[in-house]
Amino acid sequence: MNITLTLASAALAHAEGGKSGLDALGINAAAFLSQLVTFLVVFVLLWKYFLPVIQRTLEKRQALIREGIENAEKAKRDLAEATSNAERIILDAKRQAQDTIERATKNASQVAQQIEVEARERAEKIGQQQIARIQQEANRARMELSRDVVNLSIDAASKVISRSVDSNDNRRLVEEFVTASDQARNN
Amino acid sequence: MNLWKLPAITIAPEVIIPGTWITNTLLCTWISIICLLVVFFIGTRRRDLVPAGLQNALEWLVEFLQNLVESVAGKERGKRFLPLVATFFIFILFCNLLDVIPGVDTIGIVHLDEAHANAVVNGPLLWGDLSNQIIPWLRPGTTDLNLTLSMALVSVVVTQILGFSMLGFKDQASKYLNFKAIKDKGGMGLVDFLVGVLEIISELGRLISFSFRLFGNIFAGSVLLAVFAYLLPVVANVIFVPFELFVAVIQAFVFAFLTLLFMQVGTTSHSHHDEGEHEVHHEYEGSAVASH
Repeated sequence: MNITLTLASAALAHAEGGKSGLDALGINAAAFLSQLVTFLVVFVLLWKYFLPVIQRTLEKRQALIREGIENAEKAKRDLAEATSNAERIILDAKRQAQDTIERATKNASQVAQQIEVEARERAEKIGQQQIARIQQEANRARMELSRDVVNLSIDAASKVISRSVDSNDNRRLVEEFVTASDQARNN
Repeated sequence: MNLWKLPAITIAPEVIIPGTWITNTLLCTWISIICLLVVFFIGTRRRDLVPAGLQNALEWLVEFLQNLVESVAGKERGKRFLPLVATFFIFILFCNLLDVIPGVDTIGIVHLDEAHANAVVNGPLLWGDLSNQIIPWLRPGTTDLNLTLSMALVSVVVTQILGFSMLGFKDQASKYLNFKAIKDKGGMGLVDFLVGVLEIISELGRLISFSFRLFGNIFAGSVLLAVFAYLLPVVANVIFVPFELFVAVIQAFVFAFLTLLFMQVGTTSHSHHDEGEHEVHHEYEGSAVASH
């Protein structure tokens, strides 16, 4: 088999005066320079064009992601702040509502008491007025009754004595009698 | 007569256009570059904010390399190191991957040796004694020492340039020619001076280790595929092609990562290094006292 792949064979070839060691390994100036230039071309293309393009895209995306994260964090902070504000406002509103209710309750209680007092006073006043009127009515009825009794007494007496007792003296006497009777009854 | 023979395997790349210096490995390197440029052109043509397909793959690759470089060298140095490290990884990967493409290493021109000079070639397929008389049109670029050596040279030279530019001429030169140590420490300084000389030798050794490691692994992979294609056609390659894909990625990574490490070490000052050691020593002493 035709295998010549060891460095030893290259050295042997050199020792035997054949191809030089470097030739056996295929190393020569033209090939070396060609490969060197080829590699440098790739290096320059990648270094100056392709890598910066990819790196710029990566940086742009990283900046975008960073901005997104910052925005999300800001939104989170804003939300927390808004929630805190809302809770504070709700607490204030609750406190104010409680105060208003307490104040209204107190006022209502005061108004109710005042109304009760006024109603009681008015009722008492009406009662006293009614009592006074009843007493007036009673007095008037008593006066009428007295007058009727006098008239009846005079009629009865005139029938008994068959003469008129319609004189003023008689009438005065009867009335004095009736009055005295009333007083005696009242006493 | 054998049905077929093991293909002729030679280390040196073959010139495929007589009278020129264009070899099969150089042609394959150019094809690798064209593939690389096409992939990057298509991958970077659309720059969607939500990437998909090839754009996504390329962005993942570049981000992975960027993170790797920055984790080793830091953000500032990483920006300077990334282009070369990324180029090494991507370019070597593309060159290595061509090794497993059908037709590479197997399609070519027939070059009959002296023993078969009068043989007649019939049809597109070579059988029997002629089956190893082929010179492939394409051989992976990384199976050519010229390419691996040129990349190793670029790696070492760029490391030195970065060292001189970042540390200053005096500091960088004193790594290799440490006359100050002889002046300050006398006899003991000679040891430091010799260490500097060893550094020069190790830099040269690095050229060889870089180039032969990559060349050896990929060339061995090619030979492995060729030998097993001869021993157990079709079946063996089902196992070895995925293995070669793995080797292709690993070797590209090793070359790029070693370059990154050597750049990081090469741009670190000796005085810095010493101070770092002192700090570590003090920390150790401090913790030891605390534990007592």
